[in-house]
Amino acid sequence: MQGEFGWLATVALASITNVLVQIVCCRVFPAGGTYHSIRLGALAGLAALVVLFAVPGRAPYSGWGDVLPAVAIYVCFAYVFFHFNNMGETARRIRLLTELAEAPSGLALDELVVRYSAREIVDRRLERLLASGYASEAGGKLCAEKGSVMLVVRVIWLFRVLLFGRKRR
Amino acid sequence: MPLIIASRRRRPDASHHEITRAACHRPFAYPIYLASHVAVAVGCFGFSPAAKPSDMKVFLLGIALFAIAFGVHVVRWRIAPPKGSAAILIRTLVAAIAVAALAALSIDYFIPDAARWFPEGVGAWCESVTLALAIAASYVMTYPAVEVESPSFLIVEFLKEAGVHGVTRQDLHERLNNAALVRPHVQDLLHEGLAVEQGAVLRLTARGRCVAFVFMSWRQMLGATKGG
Repeated sequence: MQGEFGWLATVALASITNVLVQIVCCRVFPAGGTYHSIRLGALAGLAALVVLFAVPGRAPYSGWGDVLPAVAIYVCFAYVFFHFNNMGETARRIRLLTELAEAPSGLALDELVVRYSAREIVDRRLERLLASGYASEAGGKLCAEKGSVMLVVRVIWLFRVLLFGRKRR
Repeated sequence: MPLIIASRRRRPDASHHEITRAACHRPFAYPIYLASHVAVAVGCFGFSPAAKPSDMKVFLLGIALFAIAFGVHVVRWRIAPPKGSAAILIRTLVAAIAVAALAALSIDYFIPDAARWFPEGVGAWCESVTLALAIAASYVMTYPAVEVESPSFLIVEFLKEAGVHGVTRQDLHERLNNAALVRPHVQDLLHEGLAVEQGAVLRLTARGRCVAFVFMSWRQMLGATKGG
């Protein structure tokens, strides 16, 4: 892993570790859920990156400037990989594609809506919000709880203002 | 091992264990002990925490290339937000990073004094460009949340607006119905060429089948059920 392109091999090996650990975690501990396995995979990849940087015989590093780009590239990969998993887990378009793929003769819109309805979309998300503590339910009433999700909502709103110049609804 | 040297400033002859043993008799001893071990580990890896700005050329160039591409994207979107914008966003960011990298290379080549601001070697330049593309890929994955209303965020906003009175599940189902959550995405599939409408029936195109196959195979590999 030396030479001018040593960083590429290091990041590639760390990324492969991330993917493999996630698959193994998901298969061996299915009860932990996809998000748990994503977290473990990302941490395993990061650990692999640190170990690979400390491999004996590697060229000594002059400073953080040698390490930071590789770590940043790996973090970006882990983030993209998280979103790829998240698309399979939550994206409406991917679920609609899956439903259509399972019906080779095609589906009418009404049939599609029976298989994947707004009610299911809302209920699934509500359960996730309740499970993660971002919302609470008491006496049949749902309330928002304080948490990082509001910060994410605000950051996205800022991006919308930056790109579109107004708050879109 | 600059950190170790720094920690031995008071008694140059003191060993690491002597320093940590002494630290254990003072308040907050454990954090100091722990920090000293981290310092040794960091020192062993050969990292210098006091890196000079010149060490960061690769990282800073990567950030700068992405910043330029992001600026181009913002200007392009403020002038006229494109339709089917995901593919255009990818093309815009990749093209802007490529052009910015070529411009930087030209400056590095033709202006001798400018060379000290840029990384040296093909590998370092490739690392900078890869970093810029990796940040761009991360942004592309985040962009749909900016462009399209996420149902989770809509639910959170509704709950927030309702305040302490809260809302019922029925209220949410009435506000977030099929017309709001499903039909626009069916239109997106048609618009992006992933599905076609034949009479009243929706069918996947070859491209749509390919995308569905990738996600279905991946979910199968994980042993996960249908998402959504």
